[in-house]
Amino acid sequence: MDAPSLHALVVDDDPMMRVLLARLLSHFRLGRIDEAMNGEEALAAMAERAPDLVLCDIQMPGMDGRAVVRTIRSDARLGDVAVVAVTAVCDREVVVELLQLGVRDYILKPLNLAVTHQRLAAVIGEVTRRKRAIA
Amino acid sequence: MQPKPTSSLVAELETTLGLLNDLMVELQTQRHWDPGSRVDQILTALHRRPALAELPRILLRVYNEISAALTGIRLTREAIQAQAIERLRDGHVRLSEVSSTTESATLEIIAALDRTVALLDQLQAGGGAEAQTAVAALRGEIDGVFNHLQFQDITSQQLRGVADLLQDVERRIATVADLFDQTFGLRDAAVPGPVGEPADRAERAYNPDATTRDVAARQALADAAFGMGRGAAATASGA
Repeated sequence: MDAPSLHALVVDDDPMMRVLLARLLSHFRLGRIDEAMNGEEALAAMAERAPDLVLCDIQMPGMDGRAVVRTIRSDARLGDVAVVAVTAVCDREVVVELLQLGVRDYILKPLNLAVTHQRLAAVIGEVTRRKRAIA
Repeated sequence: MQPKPTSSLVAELETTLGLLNDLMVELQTQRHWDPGSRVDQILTALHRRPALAELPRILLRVYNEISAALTGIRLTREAIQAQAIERLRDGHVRLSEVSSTTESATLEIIAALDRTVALLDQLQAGGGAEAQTAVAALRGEIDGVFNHLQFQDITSQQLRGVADLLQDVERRIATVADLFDQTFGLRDAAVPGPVGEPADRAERAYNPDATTRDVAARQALADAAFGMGRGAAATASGA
């Protein structure tokens, strides 16, 4: 699936995970893939240019993933951003809170790359369809 | 002659000083005293107590005993610093080094794999059916390596957990050493503060429960929670 019109942002404090996730996303031939190493950097990147999709780690120093998602949801300009949580945290409360905040999927680390690819394909397909419908 | 225990000498000294005090009180009220008077009784009692003459020797013994105790405390404190704090610190530094080296190596491996994938693309473009099959198989292997490289993310989080634990133990032991310093005035061997994380790793968070085990089962649990939440949200919006 190619999605050249989409812009994605990968947020993770681990450089290896950023590379790995960006590589996974590159399979979908997105228009642009940016990276941020923490919540503050992510918000700064989104202020500059709103992405269509954010892959966000949850446990990060400073502003963590939950705070990032809450900020996205409170910003009308970022209302259409699809967020996928990618984390080693397997905590029911966190999962439910993120779901309530409108997170599209919750993928646990370490990733099964084949499964993650499928799940990302589903989200990217949905975002692409919605974008086309709006256009 | 076997020396008397310090506690017994101290008791004797206390009694002697008490008698001297009584004598001074009596002398303040009487200019003369007769045989058998209170003053006479006190003087007789004082003659029987040679402890006052022993005072310098007692004090010297007490000083020696206190010095020996302080030397023991000093040695203990030095042992705490040399054996516990420095070894813990060394362990912490080594863990950080392992974590950092593994991370660098992993990033290098990922870069090399990406270059390999680019070469495979070239091979696939120019090869026959047999080459296509081999290239496809190689791609599968490379994906497998990418999958396994994630061990670094999880193990580095676990190592950071252990490193933090070591730092906490180091801090607690340093507090005990400081307590020795403050109580016994051992200022000449100050305990250095705990070693911090290297700058490039200080800005990293970790999940102490991060694990490579039971990923599928844990993902199923997360999916179940996610699905249940979604169902509840749909019901609520439908109602």
